[in-house]
Amino acid sequence: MPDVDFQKKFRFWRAWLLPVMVLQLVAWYFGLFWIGADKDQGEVFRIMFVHVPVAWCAFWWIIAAAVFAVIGFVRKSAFETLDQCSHAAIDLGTVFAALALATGSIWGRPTWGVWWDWDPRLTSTLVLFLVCCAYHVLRSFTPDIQARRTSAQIVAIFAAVNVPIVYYSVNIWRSLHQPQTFVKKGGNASADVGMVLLINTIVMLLLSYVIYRVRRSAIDAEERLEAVREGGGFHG
Amino acid sequence: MGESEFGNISWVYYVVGAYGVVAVTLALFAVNSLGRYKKAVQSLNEETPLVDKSGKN
Repeated sequence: MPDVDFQKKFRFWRAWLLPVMVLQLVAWYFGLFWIGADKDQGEVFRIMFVHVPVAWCAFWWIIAAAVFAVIGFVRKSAFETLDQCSHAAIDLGTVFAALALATGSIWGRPTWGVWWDWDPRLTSTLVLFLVCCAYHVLRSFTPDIQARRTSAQIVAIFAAVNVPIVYYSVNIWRSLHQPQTFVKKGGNASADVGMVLLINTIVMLLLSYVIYRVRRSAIDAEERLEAVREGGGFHG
Repeated sequence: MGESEFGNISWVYYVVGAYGVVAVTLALFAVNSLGRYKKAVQSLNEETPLVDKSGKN
């Protein structure tokens, strides 16, 4: 059992938490104070620099969870370790999906005049979040560890299937939500806005990666404890 | 930073609210992960002699 090694890894990633949090505050500074107000939306458009990165992080971590799940099904020898990776990734995906809904709602009130609308983008994001919640419910109420892992991986893959539906919903259906502004050629955003958004997205991904590593260490420690209590060994 | 057209609520509250929700949630999530790790390792140290007992967790 590489016990000392897994504790060293945890300490390493924990040490990175504060620096990346400071980096995130610097990135937010650019979005909050450096960039000028938008001519149409005014100052509330600054919410974009937090809303878009958290939405991208939600997509990224839910897809990552599914990739870990698929590799876990293929490489049975690493199934337990990959299940931990998938579990930590879906934890982050759930939090970021909730944050995307919350920040989108806060942005929607001053721009659309409503906190919520049953618009395709919003509704599909809500479905994505609920599928992630189903993952946690399934994990909590399945006592057998192997059955828990297998069923959770299937739900993780199902959650990732929803990601392209959410992403393309603004193009497929007529939507209150604005279409993609930066990905399409001829988008109406300025280079400065694009750069600040890119910086914020990269830093948020970095922050989420460090939190992911800490989360994975916590899940690893809990599963080692569970294995010890059940009298078996951990093979991660 | 005056009153805006969004009812009587200034845009500042929306912007601070959005950034605040993200900051607080991510901070709580990180603290929760740290706490869960610490608790699990403490229990591991109590229940198995194989785990590093240097106390640096």
